[in-house]
This record gives sequence, C-alpha cells and structure tokens, in this order.
Amino acid sequence: VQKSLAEFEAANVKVAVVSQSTAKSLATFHRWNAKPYPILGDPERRLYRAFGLERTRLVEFLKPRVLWRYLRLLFTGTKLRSVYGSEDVLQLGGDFLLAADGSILLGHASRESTDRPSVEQLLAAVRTHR
Amino acid sequence: MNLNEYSLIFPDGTERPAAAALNPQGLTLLIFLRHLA
Repeated sequence: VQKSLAEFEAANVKVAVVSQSTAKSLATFHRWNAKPYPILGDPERRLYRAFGLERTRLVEFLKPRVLWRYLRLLFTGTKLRSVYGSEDVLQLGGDFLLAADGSILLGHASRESTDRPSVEQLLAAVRTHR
Repeated sequence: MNLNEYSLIFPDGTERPAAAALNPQGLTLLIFLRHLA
C-alpha cells in the first residue's frame, strides 16, 4: 500500500495504520521511521478485537503456503525483525475500508500471518464505493 | 460499530477516539498491522 499511496490519496482515501504499540514504542518508531501516513497505537488491542482480528497459532507458521511467502519476502530483500516491546507476535492483522461515518465498506481479517488483500483488490473496492 | 467507543494513541502521543482517525470527507483505509517491526 505504501508504494501505491498516491493512488489512494488521488481517490480521496486516507490511509491510517493501527499497531499494537504503546505510546513509548510509537515515539521511538516515529523517530527512526518517518511514514507518510499516521501510525496509531492500540496496545490493549481493543480495536483489534472489535474488528474481529484474532491471534494465530505458532503451528500456522509451518504451513507450506506461509513458509513460502516468508521465503519470498526474504529473497526480495525484506528483513525480518524482532517485534517491539510487548507486541504479540501471534496477533493477526486486517484491512478495512471505512466510510466517513465509520461504517465498514470492505473488511478483510487475516486468516494467517501473510493473508492480506492485494492493492488491486483494495483499489477496486475504493472505486466501487467512491 | 461506534469508533468513538475506542481510543487510539496518535503520532503526537495523545490518546483520542478512534473515530478521529477517519477521513471526514472521504474513505479511510484502516490497516491493522500484525506488529510494528
């Protein structure tokens, strides 16, 4: 999404990122990693739960599909890093397109750690609801 | 879902209702990370 940020902005879509970080971790992260979108903290993961985002199990990382995706990331230069502070490595993410009133137009709760919609799918949803 | 019932920590360190993260005049793509790293 970061590489396609201009396309989202051109469609009047604000991108905001939610992490399970504390205020202290976020401050450290912002100092070294300036991002062109807000990174927000939900250390108690109340919003994660409200959006139905669950924890995965360690055994899920051993599935061939997941292992293959991580290997592909490594081969393309992505560095795997340890998590910040008390973040839960088993927490799953998700992607939600919201209207101005907070209603959910598109919801994707990850089923496993590498399960994300493509940028094309997200932009298609934007075009549908614009 | 009423996003005003949930709070988030914003980049300036303040804690505000999650609804404040929304684009008031358009759509918002809210991306939940697995972890920050």
